[in-house]
Amino acid sequence: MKFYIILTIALLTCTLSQAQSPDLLEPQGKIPKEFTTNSTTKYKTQLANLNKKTKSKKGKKNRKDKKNKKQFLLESNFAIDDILQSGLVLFNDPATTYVNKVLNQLPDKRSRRQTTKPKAYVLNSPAVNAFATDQGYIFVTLGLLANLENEAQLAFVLSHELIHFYHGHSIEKFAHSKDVNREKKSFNFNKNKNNLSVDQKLFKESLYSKRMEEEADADGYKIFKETMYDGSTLPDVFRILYYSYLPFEDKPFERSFFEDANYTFPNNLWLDDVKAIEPMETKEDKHSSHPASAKRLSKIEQKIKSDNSDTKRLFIVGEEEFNKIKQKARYQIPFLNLYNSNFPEAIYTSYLLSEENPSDLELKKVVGKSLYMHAKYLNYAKQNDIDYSENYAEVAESIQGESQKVYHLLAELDVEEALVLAMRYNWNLLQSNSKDTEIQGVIDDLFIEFASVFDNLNKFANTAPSANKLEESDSKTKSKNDKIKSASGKKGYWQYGLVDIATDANFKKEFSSARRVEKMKEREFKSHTSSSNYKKRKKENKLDVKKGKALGIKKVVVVNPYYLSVAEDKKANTEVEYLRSEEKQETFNEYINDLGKKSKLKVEVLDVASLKSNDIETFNDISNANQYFSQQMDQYNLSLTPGFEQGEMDLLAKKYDTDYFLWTGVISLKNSGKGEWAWVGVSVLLPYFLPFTLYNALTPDYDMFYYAILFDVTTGKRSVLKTEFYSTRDSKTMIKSHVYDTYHQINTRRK
Amino acid sequence: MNLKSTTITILCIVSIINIGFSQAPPGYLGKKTTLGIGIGIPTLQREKPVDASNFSGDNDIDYDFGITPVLSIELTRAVNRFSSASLTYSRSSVGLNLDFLAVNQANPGSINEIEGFLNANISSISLLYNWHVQRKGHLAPIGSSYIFGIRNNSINPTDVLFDRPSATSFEDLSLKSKVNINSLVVGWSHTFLIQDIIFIKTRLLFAANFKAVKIVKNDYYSVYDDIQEGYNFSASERLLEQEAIQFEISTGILF
Repeated sequence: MKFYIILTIALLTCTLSQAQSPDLLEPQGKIPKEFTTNSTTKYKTQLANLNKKTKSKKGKKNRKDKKNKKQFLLESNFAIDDILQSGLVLFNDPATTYVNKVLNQLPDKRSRRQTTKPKAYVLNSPAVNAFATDQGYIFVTLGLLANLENEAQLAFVLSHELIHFYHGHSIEKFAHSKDVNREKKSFNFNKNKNNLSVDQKLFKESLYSKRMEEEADADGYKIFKETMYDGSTLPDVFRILYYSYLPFEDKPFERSFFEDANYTFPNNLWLDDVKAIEPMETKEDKHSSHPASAKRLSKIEQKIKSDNSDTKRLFIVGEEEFNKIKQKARYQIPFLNLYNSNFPEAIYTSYLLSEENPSDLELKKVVGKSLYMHAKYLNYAKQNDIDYSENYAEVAESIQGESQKVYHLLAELDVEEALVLAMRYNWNLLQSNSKDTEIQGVIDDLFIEFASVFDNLNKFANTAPSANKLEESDSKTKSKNDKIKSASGKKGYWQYGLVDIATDANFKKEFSSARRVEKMKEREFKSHTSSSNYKKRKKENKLDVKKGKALGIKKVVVVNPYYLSVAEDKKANTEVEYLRSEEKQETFNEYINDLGKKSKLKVEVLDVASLKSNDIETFNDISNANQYFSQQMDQYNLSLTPGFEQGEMDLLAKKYDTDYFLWTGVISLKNSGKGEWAWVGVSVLLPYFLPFTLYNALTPDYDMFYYAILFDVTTGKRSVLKTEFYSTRDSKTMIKSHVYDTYHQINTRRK
Repeated sequence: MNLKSTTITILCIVSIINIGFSQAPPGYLGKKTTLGIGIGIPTLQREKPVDASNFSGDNDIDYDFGITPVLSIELTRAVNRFSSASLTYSRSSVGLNLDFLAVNQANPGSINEIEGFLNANISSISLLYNWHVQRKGHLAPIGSSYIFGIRNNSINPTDVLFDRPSATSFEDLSLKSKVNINSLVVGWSHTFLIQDIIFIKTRLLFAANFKAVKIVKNDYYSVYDDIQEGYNFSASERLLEQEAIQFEISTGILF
């Protein structure tokens, strides 16, 4: 991993009160207990129930079955808690409240097997999906809510998931998967081989999974039938799920969204005819976990044929509420696409919504940020000789529907074109929203990218392209040489992109400033070792390596400290030690807190596990901070980049009275390592080595990865304090030592 | 110790404690200094000191071989993230069976061979540089470290016992045979912590002795050494060779 320390070119000079944030769905109210109860407690409770139920069952098969289920409970509890604490799960928001209202319309089918009533949560994801867990949670994505047509369809989806829960499909699938993996000699397709191949295992597992899905469809429909919901539109559910790869609408994408009189794309950039949406595939994928959608659709059609839906309704909780939630879900999709760096989708879905919300600034900012990031990646790829556009082009060819235009456009733009498009869009946005700090931040960084590509503004036209059309009309009378001369003097379409912008005094000023910095970087690069700045930086880097950094910072916020313990077994399979991880996590959090007091650094820890039920603000702060960190790590190789929701981060910095946020964690790996007894043999000849070699041989080998990355969240500047592997055990002494060292590096100043 | 050695030692202690670099190391939770006492076991068994009770009936000196431990006190200070400096004072009592070739002052032309036994105290001051193992993430002053240093050994005979208890011609044998020999020391140590305050350190040291740089004046005898089979002043070197490899264990506090 390469680490770049990049000079901050321009600081945001905004006032924080101007930061805006979009009106998105987010967790509200009291934090549910399951979000803050630790996974070990949940696991032990469920284990006790399992032991009670299986007490009387004896025999080898039952013991194996119980062992598989125990393992499932362990893994699933921790995995689900990771999801719950990720910030992706909404609660007490309008969408979740609505989904639970619909869930309550379904009959209560609790049994001896499942005594708890399940709860529904909405997942902050653009994917079109829903799933249920054995712990009684049903997750429905915002992407699904954005696509469903009515409440009855949602009720059917929830019925399907309820069957997965009531029939314990998750745990059965897990146990079956373990059995298939162990299966070696009992079942063979090929008599000459003893083991099931990977392909055979996948096939077996998918058969089992498909059977469960069919069961959930069939029994889910039975639950659904007991309600007053109308089943006539249920086949569309499978169409929606099948076409989940398409945006929630497919409307023509007009050129006028980006073009105007001065700026018109040439024909090669614009697709007039897009790839048509293909019909549903009827062939079954033998490795898929779900049956073919066409088959499921056909089965449900058969069922609803015989049912009388005269008295049934498409909405019971309320059509108005459904539409409101659907709109909110749709509104969130462009932002989620942006956070996932899916820029074409972000632009297209913003475009879809902008028709109904033409003056919505936040949607325009999504487009602006997407164009800016795309240009930035292109520039980085060009400077580092990486194929970025080629991959894009391949994807663009496969896209169906109107959104293909956006994919195609972005795939075809080269660096100059992309920068001009991003700059004109964002500059124009800034003119009508001059106090918006996020747009200003984007512009500031765009100038840096601009200055690295353009030496001056001379390439850009100062007058509109219409003045040149007179020349074109004379083409029939012109000689060949005259035509050649006029062709070489012609400007590309993008060179008209900054007409009315490049002459602006502020624009020129910012560009000049960015050019000065770029020239300084170029000079330093050329003079290299003789530059005084370079020598100074080299000396500082040496000192940083030898003595550690010395940042002189007084306060930091530590966000969700992380701990993972992994062990390798004798067959070199790596498994997570869940219980140990959680136990160590708790002590790690204690150290983070306690050592903050010991060092002279003020430390505030934001950690989901330690929140009380009314700490919803802090929960959302953690979620925003983690999203920022995730984005910054995705863009690690790029130059300093503002956060997608930089306004939120600026507010966080103000709230916690520091610009500095620290992400830190430990990953411990216990190697299967056979003892190094050879050295013990050698040390018999030299007895004084014996204590050391014996200790080495008797204790397993450990590796420990410790990381501590500090961000200035207002500028994006990062200091990587530690990302190091140590050949040592994650003992208390080691952890404390490095936590303290991290704080020391943050707080201390070099004399 | 003489004034010169004392001065150097005190200067070293003060420097170690007060070294101000451009950036103070973190130490362990801010604690950079350890002070401890230890015991070392030299590799080979050596002659234990004797007294008059060790004379047998025929005036032979009975002596034992055995473990003659080295007691030490040590001050260590972190000087960098991954390095620390130690100042150690150690002391042990040993014996050495020798044949003395004595010159009778009254009769300079006559040289006599006398069997004897030398009791000596060996005092050592070591200045060690500990280079903590970065690969293991061990920050000074704890964890594993490679050791490099120098040691000044002062061999100070306390008494000499002869197989002929009364030998007036040899009464003038007054041994001013204190010898200083420097050694180059390398080694390995590991420091464990208990409750963040108490440490236990295990250490393995190898010493290579330089030639004796100073032989005290007025030495008027030379020594025949059975092992070396020659007349030289190698007794002191042989004493120190026994400490060439030493295993130490020490404990103390971190502050």
